[in-house]
Parts: sequence; structure tokens; C-alpha cells
Amino acid sequence: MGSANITPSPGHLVPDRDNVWTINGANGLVLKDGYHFQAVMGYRIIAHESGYRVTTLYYRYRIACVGDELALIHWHPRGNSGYELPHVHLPQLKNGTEHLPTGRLTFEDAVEWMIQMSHQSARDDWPSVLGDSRAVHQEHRSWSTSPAEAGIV
Amino acid sequence: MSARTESMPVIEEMSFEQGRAMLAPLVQDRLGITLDEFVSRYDDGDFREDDDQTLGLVMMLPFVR
Repeated sequence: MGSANITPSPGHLVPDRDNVWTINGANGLVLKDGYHFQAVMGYRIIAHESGYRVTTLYYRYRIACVGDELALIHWHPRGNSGYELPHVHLPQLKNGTEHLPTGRLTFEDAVEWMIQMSHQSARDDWPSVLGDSRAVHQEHRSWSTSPAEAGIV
Repeated sequence: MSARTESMPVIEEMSFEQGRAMLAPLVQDRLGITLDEFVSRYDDGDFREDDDQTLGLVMMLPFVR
């Protein structure tokens, strides 16, 4: 899609505390033709038999074009929304949507959605780059379809 | 592999001060209140994370505390 910096919160490598990262602070990534991509992911570094691992706390990916929200990809099991499972909203559908249930959607998934919707990518080999990154996630993840697999909700 | 390493994104950690400077105007613009009021009212359960914009603000709270 384009280049971006990762902006983590203060003390982002400190174990046992809630942290978050975004793309380019609150700005997200602006692409040609008015496309806009934002990503926010909460995480925690926790002890593991191999040393430490990172566990995801929540995520929000937002894909928009000239102010129109195309896809809102959410998982926020904490808080007071009352909906704890991963889901998407598709605001541009005729009647909008509430919570459309999904499995776990990764950052790589969101990047691919953005590439597919905007028809923009920074490199031709993006499928293999995303595939390699997904493979690392799949090797270490504790859940994929429902967070109940990991006893989270 | 080396080509991909060369294109790795820069990681720039924010300070709490920078986090407050980032979040305060967003809160003011979207909710019309100060950051401190937002944090206090969120902790009191005043905000539901039903809309995407509020959800985004809530998720970024680790930038300020």
C-alpha cells in the first residue's frame, strides 16, 4: 500500500502491562484516490515457557475512502459494548450492519482487505509477504476462530 | 529476506506527553470534552464502545496512562 511507521505506546516492551500500537500515530495511512487505513492493536507481553510471548488484547482496523467508511474490523472483548466476539461493520451497505461475526482477523488480513479494496499495493509480491507474516502468527497464536479457544471470553 | 528487512517500518515509541498531545485534540474534536474528562468518564463507565470513533479513542488510552 505504502510506507508507514509503527507508533507504540510508552514502555511498549515492558512485560505485564497493557500496550497499544498504531500506524503513524493517529493519522493512519493515506493512499491515493482518498483511501485511508487505520490500525490499532492492544497487546500485552506475558511470560511463557519459552521466555515471553505477545498476546493480543483487542484490535480495530478501519478502511475508508473520502470519508466513507467501507469496513470497520473490530475485536474488543473488554469494555462495555456488550459484544465480545470478533466482528466487522460494513456501513456502506444499504441499511448498514450491526455486528457481523468473524473469526480472528489479523493485521495481515486487514492489509489485504485494504489492498483489495483500493487496488493499491507498494510491492508486487505482497501475497507472499503477507503469507510469510501470517505463518509466524499461525505458529504462535492461541486462538483463531473464537477467543473462547484461549479462554478469553 | 534481506530485501524485506530493508523495508521494515520504523518503530517510534511515543512518550506519555506526546500521547496526550495526540489524543487530546481528537477527544475534543469528536466528543467536545477534555482528555482528562474523557478518561475519568470512561473509567466511570459513561462511554459505550458502540461507535467506531469512540472505540478508537478508548483503544488508544495506553498512550496517555
